[in-house]
Amino acid sequence: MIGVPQFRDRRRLPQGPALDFPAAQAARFTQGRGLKRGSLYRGAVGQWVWVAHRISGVAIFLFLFVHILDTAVIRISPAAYNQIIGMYHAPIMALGELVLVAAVTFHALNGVRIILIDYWSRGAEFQQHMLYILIGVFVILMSVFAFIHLGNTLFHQGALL
Amino acid sequence: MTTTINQGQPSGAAVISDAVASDASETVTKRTARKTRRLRPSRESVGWEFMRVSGAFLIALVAFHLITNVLMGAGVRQINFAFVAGKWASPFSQIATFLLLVLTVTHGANGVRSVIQDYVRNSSVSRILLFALYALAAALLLLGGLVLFTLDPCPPAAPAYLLPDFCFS
Repeated sequence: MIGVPQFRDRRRLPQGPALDFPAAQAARFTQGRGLKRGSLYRGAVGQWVWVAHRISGVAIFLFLFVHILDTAVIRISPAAYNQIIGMYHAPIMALGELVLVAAVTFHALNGVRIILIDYWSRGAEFQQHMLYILIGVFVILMSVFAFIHLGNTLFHQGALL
Repeated sequence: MTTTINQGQPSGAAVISDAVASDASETVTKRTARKTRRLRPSRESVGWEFMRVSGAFLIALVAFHLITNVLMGAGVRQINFAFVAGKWASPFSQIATFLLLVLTVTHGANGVRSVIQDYVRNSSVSRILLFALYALAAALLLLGGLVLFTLDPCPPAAPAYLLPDFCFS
C-alpha cells in the first residue's frame, strides 16, 4: 500500500477504452507497467491513520523489547538496575518519553475508534467524526502529560536551568 | 406459507411459486445457520478478536502503569531499585505487572505478525521472521515472568541505602 504509485499523470496510462472507474484504471496501469499486483487503496485520512496505527504499533513493540530487557537488569543487582534506569532520567530522554507516550496515546485512542467501528452498529458511519474526537482528546491528554512530565524532568530544578 | 395453500384460499400461480420460493429459501437459511453454528472460528478471526479485547484491557493497564510510575510523585526520577522492588512486594502490583507483560507481548507480537504477513511476500523470509518473532515473544515472556516472580527485594549483599524501607523493619 505504501509506495504504490499515484495516478497523477494520465498520459502514462496504457492505451485502452476510457475508464472512469479508479480500480479499473489501476488494474490497467499495473498490467502495463509490469508491476506486481497488490492491494491498491486510495482512501482518505482514515487510510493514513491506519498506516500511523501500524507504524506506532511496531515502534511501541520495539520499545517494549528494550523496556523488558532494562527492567530485567533489576534481577542482577540494585546498583546495576539504578545505573541502567538512570539513563531514563537524562533531560534528553524526557523528549523521547514524550514521543513514546504520544505514540502510545494515539495507538490507544485509535484502538478505541477501531473497536467502535467494528463492534458498534453505527461505528463505520461515524469513523470520520471519531477521528476529530480522537485528535481533540489526544491534544488534551498530551498537554496534561507534557505539563506534568516536563515539569518533573526538563523544568525540574537543576535539570536544565 | 404452506398453510395458505392448504387452507384453500384464493391463490394464483404467482402466490404458490412465491410460497415455494420462500419455503425453499427458509430451508436454505436454516441449513446455513446450522452450518455456521457448527463452524469453529478460524485462527485468524480469534487473533482479530484478541487484538480488540486485549487492546481494551491494555488501555486500563498502560494508563495505570504510566500514572503510577511517570505521573505520580517525582515522575521518572523516582524510579530505582527501592521503588520497583517496593511496589512488586504487593501481590496486586505484581499481578497487574504480570498481566501488563503478557498482554503487551502477545498483543504486540500479534500485531507485528500481521505486519510481516502483509508486507513480506517471500514465504521463506516470512517464515524465518515469524519464527524469530515467536522466539522473541516467548523469551520476553519467560524473562519478564522469571524476573517479576523471583526478585528478592532485600538482597543481603546490596548496600542498605539502595533497598526499600521495609527491609529494615
